[in-house]
Amino acid sequence: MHVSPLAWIALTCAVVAAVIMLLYLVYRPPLDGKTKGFLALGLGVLPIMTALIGNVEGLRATEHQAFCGSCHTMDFHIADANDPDSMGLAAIHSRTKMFGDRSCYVCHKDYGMYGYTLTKLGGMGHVYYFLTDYAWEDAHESLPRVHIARPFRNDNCMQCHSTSGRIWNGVPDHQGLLEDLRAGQTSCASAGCHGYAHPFSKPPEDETEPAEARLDPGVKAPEGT
Amino acid sequence: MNRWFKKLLDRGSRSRLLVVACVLGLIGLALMSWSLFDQGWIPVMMAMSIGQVIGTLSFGLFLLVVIIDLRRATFRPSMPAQASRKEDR
Ligand code: HEC
Ligand code: HEC
Ligand code: HEC
Repeated sequence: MHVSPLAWIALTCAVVAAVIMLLYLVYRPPLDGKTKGFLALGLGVLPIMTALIGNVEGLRATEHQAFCGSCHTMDFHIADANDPDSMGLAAIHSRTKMFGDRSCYVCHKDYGMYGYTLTKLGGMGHVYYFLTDYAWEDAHESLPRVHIARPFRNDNCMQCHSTSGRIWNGVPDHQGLLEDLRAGQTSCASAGCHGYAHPFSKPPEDETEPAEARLDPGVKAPEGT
Repeated sequence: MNRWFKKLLDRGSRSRLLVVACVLGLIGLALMSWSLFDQGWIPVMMAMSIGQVIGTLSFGLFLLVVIIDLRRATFRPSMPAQASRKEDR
């Protein structure tokens, strides 16, 4: 459990507001100027502070692996990403100090649960699937059913790997496919290229398929995503 | 304006409204505070949806009380017409 200084401020506001409200409920003082002033603090200013900070913290929380891990459906992906022996792309990218603990977020920024959509329908999609279905089976049973909703976009990788470096461009495969890669025609995270980001979840026979196979959007996007 | 709402503005009990506002406020704050310590999807979602709706309702009731209050006060919304001085009469 990590509680940031900002969260302590929010909590302090909440406690003071709660005390004001409780005192009002217990004593029911006459509504003079002083009472109204306190209530303006206790029902207005302080709870609004708590809510604002709570939103900032809440949105930030969704970037952490722990948030994704609060559904057991995601267990294997998280376990593999944090396995020091795994050489999947997700694992490699979870070892940096800079964004390791937010690795799901940096690659899956377009996932429905990020941003304010969290409380809207897009983000609720998976909560809905979870509550109506996945919550009743263990992660082993779910694993073969969970698929990426849309083909993974190279743009997500190119936030960090600009495709303009000397070493990067010196790689013959990159040179030959440069336009395709930038346009997202050929996926970086595919068998034959950098391999899957989460290789453990793919049936072994997939390993031999050519890169283009991944881009055939054979996986149907689930409704609501 | 809605009849019921008008009646509320004219005759609503401010202290009863405030009791409701405080109870709602406490529930909203509890939901929002929970998510500060436990950042799993349930607390975070509850705080950002239900918690905020309840909190906003509570604040709304407080504003309603302020409006009721202001309507009962005596205000002079604009400059009074030139006060009549005795000698002018
Ligand atoms: C409420 C539980 C829950 C939480 C929390 C959760 N997931 Fe999921 N996730 C699911 C379920 C259930 C599915 C399978 C849905 C389906 O059938 O497509 C899924 C599928 C996915 C998929 C594949 C489908 C797609 O949309 O591409 C990705 C990627 C994913 N989750 C990433 C994440 C990340 C990143 C996080 C952390 C922000 C996260 N999940 C948090 C329940 C959850
Ligand atoms: C290096 C970027 C990267 C990181 C980091 C990453 N993913 Fe993925 N994720 C992908 C790609 C690419 C796919 C498409 C399938 C594949 O390559 O394995 C994917 C697919 C998925 C799927 C769909 C099911 C599957 O296995 O294909 C889920 C669920 C998922 N990711 C969850 C997560 C979670 C949870 C984390 C954080 C521990 C995470 N991912 C971290 C790139 C990443
Ligand atoms: C948030 C920034 C970021 C994103 C997004 C990202 N990478 Fe990386 N990537 C890095 C960093 C930093 C390293 C160096 C990691 C290290 O040396 O520990 C790296 C390393 C790599 C490596 C070298 C791994 C090795 O064995 O040395 C490959 C291949 C790679 N990334 C591919 C990808 C692909 C494919 C994607 C998209 C699915 C992607 N990256 C997304 C930052 C990123």
